[in-house]
Amino acid sequence: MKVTYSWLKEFVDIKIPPEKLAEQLSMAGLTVASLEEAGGDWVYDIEVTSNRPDWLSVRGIAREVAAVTGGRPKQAGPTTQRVKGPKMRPAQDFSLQIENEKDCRLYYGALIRQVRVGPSPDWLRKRLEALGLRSVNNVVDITNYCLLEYGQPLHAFDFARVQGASIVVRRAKEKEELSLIDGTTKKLTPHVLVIADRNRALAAAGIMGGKESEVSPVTKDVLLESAVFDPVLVRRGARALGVATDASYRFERSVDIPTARLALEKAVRMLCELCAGTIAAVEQSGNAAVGAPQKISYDIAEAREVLSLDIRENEAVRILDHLGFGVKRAGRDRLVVEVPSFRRDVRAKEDITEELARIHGYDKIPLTYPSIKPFVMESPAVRRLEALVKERLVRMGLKEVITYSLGSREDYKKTSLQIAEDALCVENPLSQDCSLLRATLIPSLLACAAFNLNQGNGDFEIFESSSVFEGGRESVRLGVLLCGARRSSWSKESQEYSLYDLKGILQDVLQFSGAEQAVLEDASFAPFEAGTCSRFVAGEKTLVVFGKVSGPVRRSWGIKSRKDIYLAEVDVEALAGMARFSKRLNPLAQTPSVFRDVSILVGSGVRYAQIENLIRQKTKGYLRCVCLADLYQGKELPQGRAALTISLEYGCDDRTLTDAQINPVHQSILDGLTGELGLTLR
Amino acid sequence: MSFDLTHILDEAKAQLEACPDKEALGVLRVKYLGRKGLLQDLMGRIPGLPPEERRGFGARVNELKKSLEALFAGKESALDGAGEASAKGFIDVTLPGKMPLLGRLHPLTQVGNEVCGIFSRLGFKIFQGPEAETEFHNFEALNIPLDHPSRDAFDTFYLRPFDASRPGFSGQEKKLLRSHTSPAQIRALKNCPPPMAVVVPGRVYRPDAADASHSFMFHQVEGIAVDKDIRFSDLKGILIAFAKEMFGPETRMRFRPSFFPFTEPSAEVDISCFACAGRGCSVCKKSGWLEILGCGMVHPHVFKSAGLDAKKWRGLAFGMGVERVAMLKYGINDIRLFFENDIRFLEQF
Repeated sequence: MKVTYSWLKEFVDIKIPPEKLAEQLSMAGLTVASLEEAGGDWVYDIEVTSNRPDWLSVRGIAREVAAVTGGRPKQAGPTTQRVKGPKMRPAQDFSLQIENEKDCRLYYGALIRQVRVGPSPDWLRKRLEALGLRSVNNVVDITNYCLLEYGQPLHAFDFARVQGASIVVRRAKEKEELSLIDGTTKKLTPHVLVIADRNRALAAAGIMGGKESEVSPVTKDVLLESAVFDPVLVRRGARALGVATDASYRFERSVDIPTARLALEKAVRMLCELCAGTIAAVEQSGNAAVGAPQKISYDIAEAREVLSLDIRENEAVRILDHLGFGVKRAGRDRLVVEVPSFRRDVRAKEDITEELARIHGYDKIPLTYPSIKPFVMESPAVRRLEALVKERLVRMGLKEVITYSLGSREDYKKTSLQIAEDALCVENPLSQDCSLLRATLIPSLLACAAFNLNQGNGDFEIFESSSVFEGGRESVRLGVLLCGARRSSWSKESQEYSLYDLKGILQDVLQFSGAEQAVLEDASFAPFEAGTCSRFVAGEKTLVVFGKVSGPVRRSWGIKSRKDIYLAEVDVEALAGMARFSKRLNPLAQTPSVFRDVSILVGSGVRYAQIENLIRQKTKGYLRCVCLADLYQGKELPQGRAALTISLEYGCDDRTLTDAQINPVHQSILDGLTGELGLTLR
Repeated sequence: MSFDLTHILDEAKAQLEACPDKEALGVLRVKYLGRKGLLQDLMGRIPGLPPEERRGFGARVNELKKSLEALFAGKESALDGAGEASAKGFIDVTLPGKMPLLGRLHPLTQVGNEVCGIFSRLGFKIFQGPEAETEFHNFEALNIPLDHPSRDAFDTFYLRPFDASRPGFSGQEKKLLRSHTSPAQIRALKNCPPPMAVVVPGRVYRPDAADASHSFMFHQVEGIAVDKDIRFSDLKGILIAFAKEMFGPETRMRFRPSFFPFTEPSAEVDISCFACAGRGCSVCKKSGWLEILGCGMVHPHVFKSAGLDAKKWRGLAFGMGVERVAMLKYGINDIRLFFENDIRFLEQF
């Protein structure tokens, strides 16, 4: 809402300079977005919150200025000043009918005859232009002037175009058409309220007038409308038509019933004075009664209690009075506050407290510290686990990414994934690229990898932890992606990532979460290269799926780099179901260990897991640790073969083992490897 | 009989100077300090001296011994050092140190954690709500009625089944992507009866076309504290405590009246610009102030929605955008950078 300093001064004494006023208004909640000097005047652009339609008028803002500055409202004051208007006359010249008063509570029509349409006087034109409105002609300008002064939208019809001299406020008919003033033609539906004559729609009620009945240089008689339309109807109608106007903006936020009459009277007077018109008739349809004002009993102690603000009774009364409230004293510190019709936002004592605080000044409220009492609230295991796992991945050198939860059908296609039957999507997406709620993080991480590779970042290790949506269920997933090599400061030492790096990270996460019992299984999953994909399962639940991203998927994401990409997705929700957060000490060995290495040639179908299992079976409790020491794939080995060196740590907690005790055990392992598994020792 | 001990020392110095390696050093050591060495020889002569000379001579031989030992030790460590250097081949301490590869939390997570951490220390607990919310929690419960212009500030993505043949949501169960974290206020109040205080971090969604300052997905941290005697002045206290810890002890704060449907009274909070200490600069657009969060006293309607007696309880609530705080804090001028996840961006935080 724009307003000028000089116009405000018509309604209130202002004794402070324009800049100071801007600051004071901002600090009272009328945020002045800009203040500009123009032609010896000052233009304020004020942000108006949706609860204050009364601020969408010069008079409404003047009321605030009076309250904020303590300035005297002029004459009868901006709230009660009345323009002498014509008396109601019985309908002779035209008829007025509202089909449903729910849609239109009140409608005034004033017929002004013999109007001379022409340019507006300079002062009027300048005032409108200063506030960003274009001057059209004196009649239209007068309606706009009153809109700005009162916040009540008015509309002027060329009476000659009103067929049958009858105005009907009704719902549009299905497929009824209306050409609007802006030159567009709209197809209407019964959701739109129209002002019609005997035959057709003339205007979209409260939204925009029609081209055909627009006031033009040849207009002689003007029918002036001032009405109160249903806010929701106007809001929906404006949206349906894709039109937003100064009028619809105000009607959506509700207009004030008594003001509708005041604005009409002022406009009629201006039309008579500035356009040489004569008032022929004023017709009213609907209900102009506002009922008795709402009364709120208010104890000033409330302000002290809620705000810690010691506000004196006289000051409270002055503030409320300047804001247009009726105030009666009802004992010490007790007030009965009457809410004016233009303050529909004020309903309870909290609202009065806010008014007092706002005008008295938030800066005068002291600063106190609350005592926040300790209380018990258990945080869900999944959130605890998520935070801990994120921290752990960071310690491993991974970077967290945050990607959009909304993706597209295309993302799934590129990743060779099917969209689940129960997937959710956005009804009103900005674009198809972000319309589908993701049920997996895999496409997002691939997109992220593709982006980074395109940027020339060849080596990275990233993860994301985020909600995914499977039908109505929202759960937390963790995605991990390794690409290229683990960088080192001096680049020759960089180590290419392998599937084992990814598996190691996942094993650590599982172990850390207390899910060591998870079992590794071969799996096949479309985005991954065959033979590289596995999963960790616990009972029925798949905790993790991981593998190497397949060539076709890489290509469809536009990844040209030859670097390998390894990717995993963890079901944090399932993992949290089995998570243990407590730790127990594993006693340190008190007797020395004996180390023996075994070297074996593998690649003939026997897998490491079988070898490790066999070793564990044969060692009868003497085994402290078995670990892979080396995997060798040299030229001298046959094609497809590798040499494993496995390091065995033998020990016994109650005595020191001798060679005599270890040798038979170790030998049985060697026998088992060669005999049972048919492996060749090296 | 007189011995020129000084001469022996000088000769030893010269020979050590010329000594190329440890082997030669060993030979010299035998010559001077060995069991049949020069020094031992001198010691052996002491008994044969006249009694009045013995004491003085003995002392001088001892001094010579100490000097020689020091010379040999010095030469030995010099040869050691040279040996190590030659073994490694080359040392240049001005070469760059090898920086460890560090992982990072996303800057938005870091800022969110920092905010939540400060409130945790003030006694708040962390609570999280769903991102796919019901229309009731996102709007009605928070005093934002249907078809009211107050909804304009909360343009919202509505959800429907992707498979159009499946039944959609209806009525209040209509699902949407939450347009703010405030619906979690209702869930927290239902979940955890007052007195209570929680902060709610999380993702929120609004259909804003992407540009340097808009993103359809962003993050908020919401806070609510409810007790019988909480006051508006407490908001000032708790928020200045937060601001000073987050933005520095010099931070000043101001409250401006505002409107949020779910608080009454409501305020926008500005902090003094940390880039210019309030003098006015490009960061604060010359105003000296930065708008940082919205807050207010919990509206009675919110208590009613959560099934609480609005006469019995009072609460304070506040909320802020994590992206905004992070952008101000780190001098980031394009919100899209957060979601591109360029490694070169992520590694700076």
